Amino acid sequence: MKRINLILGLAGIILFVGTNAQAHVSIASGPAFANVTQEVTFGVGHGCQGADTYRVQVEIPAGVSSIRPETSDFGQVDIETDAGGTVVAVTWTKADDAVLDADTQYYKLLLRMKAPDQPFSTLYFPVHQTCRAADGSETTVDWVGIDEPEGSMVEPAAKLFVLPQHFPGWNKFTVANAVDDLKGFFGDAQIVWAGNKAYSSNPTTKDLIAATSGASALTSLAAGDEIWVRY
Amino acid sequence: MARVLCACALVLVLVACGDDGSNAQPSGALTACMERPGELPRPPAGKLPCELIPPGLSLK
Repeated sequence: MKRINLILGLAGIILFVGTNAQAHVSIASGPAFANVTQEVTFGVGHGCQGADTYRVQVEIPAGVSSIRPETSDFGQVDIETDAGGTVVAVTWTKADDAVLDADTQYYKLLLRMKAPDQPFSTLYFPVHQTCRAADGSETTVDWVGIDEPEGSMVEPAAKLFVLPQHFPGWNKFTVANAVDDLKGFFGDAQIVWAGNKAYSSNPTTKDLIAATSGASALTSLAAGDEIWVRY
Repeated sequence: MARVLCACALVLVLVACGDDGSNAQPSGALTACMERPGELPRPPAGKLPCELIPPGLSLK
């Protein structure tokens, strides 16, 4: 009996972790450009254990400026500023009568902002997601983890990859910081070259790289690497 | 006279635009499209198309 309880308990933990992992609040608009004002979209994939999302608070990391939240899928937007008037958090809140009885919807929350002039860096936006169940009870999930180790119970913060501004066609860059997550930074590029090594998130192009004599797979970039990127 | 000159110019243009494939890859290396102006775009066939080779790179 004890063993059955243990198994059921473990199954419950796994189910809970799995549910939360799916409820990831993340950047849905792809990488941002350094030192450029642009629209960034936060996607709210799920609510909390079946309850609809009622409020989302996004903390603004240092260096991000020109914050202009948009009303988005939730009606009301509030901003918090520090003593110097810098926006440090943005909160979107649904009207009480707009909260759904169940977690059935995907939401997009938009923010116009200027990323710092730090290309090839990663910005983390801690997010606090509050859900309200049909019985009125509220649950808050904190998405605040930054570079957490594998298996950590801390939910990951929304991650924004910052790149130099680029244009359709070929772009030549010098990498400012080492890059391990090529998919995160270059998922929307046709191909990336560093010397005779190439990366593409497109599986067909990846196969062609492997089949091309003289070319090999690019898996990471070091600071100072000169790269060609085609969009 | 003007008609003869026009005809000569037309012949020159046609010769210049012609592509028998001999100028595609003089060294046999895979290079960027801008270094292979006589080659027509084609779907990739077992290797990266020249559109995906950056300027200045030569793969052998």
